[in-house]
Amino acid sequence: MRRLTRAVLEEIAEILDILNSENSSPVFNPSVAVLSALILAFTASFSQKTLVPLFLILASVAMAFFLEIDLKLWIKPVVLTFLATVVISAPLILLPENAFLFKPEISRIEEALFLILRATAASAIFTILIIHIGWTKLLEGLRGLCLPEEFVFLIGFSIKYIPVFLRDTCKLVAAKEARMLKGLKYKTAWRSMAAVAGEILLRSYEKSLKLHLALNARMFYIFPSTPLKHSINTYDVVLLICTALIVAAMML
Amino acid sequence: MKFLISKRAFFLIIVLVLVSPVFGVILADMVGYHEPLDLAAEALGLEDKNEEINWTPFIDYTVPGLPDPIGYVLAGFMGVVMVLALGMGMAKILSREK
Repeated sequence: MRRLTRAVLEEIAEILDILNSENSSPVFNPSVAVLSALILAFTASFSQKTLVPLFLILASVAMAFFLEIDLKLWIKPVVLTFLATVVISAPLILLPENAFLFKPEISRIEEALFLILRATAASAIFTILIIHIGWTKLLEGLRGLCLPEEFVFLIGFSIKYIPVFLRDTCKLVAAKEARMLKGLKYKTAWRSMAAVAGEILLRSYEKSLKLHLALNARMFYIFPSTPLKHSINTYDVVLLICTALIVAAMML
Repeated sequence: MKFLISKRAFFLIIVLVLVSPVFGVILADMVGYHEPLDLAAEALGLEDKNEEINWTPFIDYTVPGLPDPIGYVLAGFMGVVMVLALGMGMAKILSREK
């Protein structure tokens, strides 16, 4: 239990750190990449055909090679999404119409697999484009799409803050557990988690304030009205055409 | 009192709330999305006590007597107004203390 809690928190923190990467010269225009990532994730999520999400997963792998992105980095968030969806859709697989027989029904398994596939494909295509452009360019891309500064700030701040918060939580949980005299059982582990909740709330407020000031001091939010202009190149046109074709394939 | 968010952000929130039924109702129905745990409970023959234990008339983001998409939008606006009112109230209290 102890290891599992910390391992999950650490993994999520690491995954958000992956999105926190930097790329000074991305192939795509940041706004085009963000727009395509959003449209493609939407397409994968609401596709009614199996081929569309499957194609998007393959396209993500191809893009990883083309954009020279470390596959190990990209695979982590995708696997986390996959595992989370497997847990969510497990009742569909395990509990069919005649649940007392525990004999899975094919249509429900198909429904569960399709749900897992759609979520995994959406995560795959979205993360590959976001990892490629990096955190700073993601903010520039969002500003380029004329999103209000509050939204840009919240997205950028969340990517930076969530790993800090999760690691701090890990430390607090570990410190609390280290002071326990009784052997660590499930019941005591849950109690320790509940006991640190108030402390986490206070510390998270303090940390977020410090991080906000640190980001402001580095001028990420002070001059939002002067985003860097990025030209649209051939790769951007190709990406937009591919996005349009995939959306059309979903609608057909 | 100074508004907590810019007009542009407020406008975007309104647009997002208006568009939300497209994702939450129309497209979710189109792909046949159901809560897996609801299906599991149904398969086990468990009784649905949702309406018995819920005090709110707005169960599942619906408004009685209105079609689901319109109820979804109204529930969205109710949520936004409540969160903004809470935020503005807290901001006012904090500014007085300072």
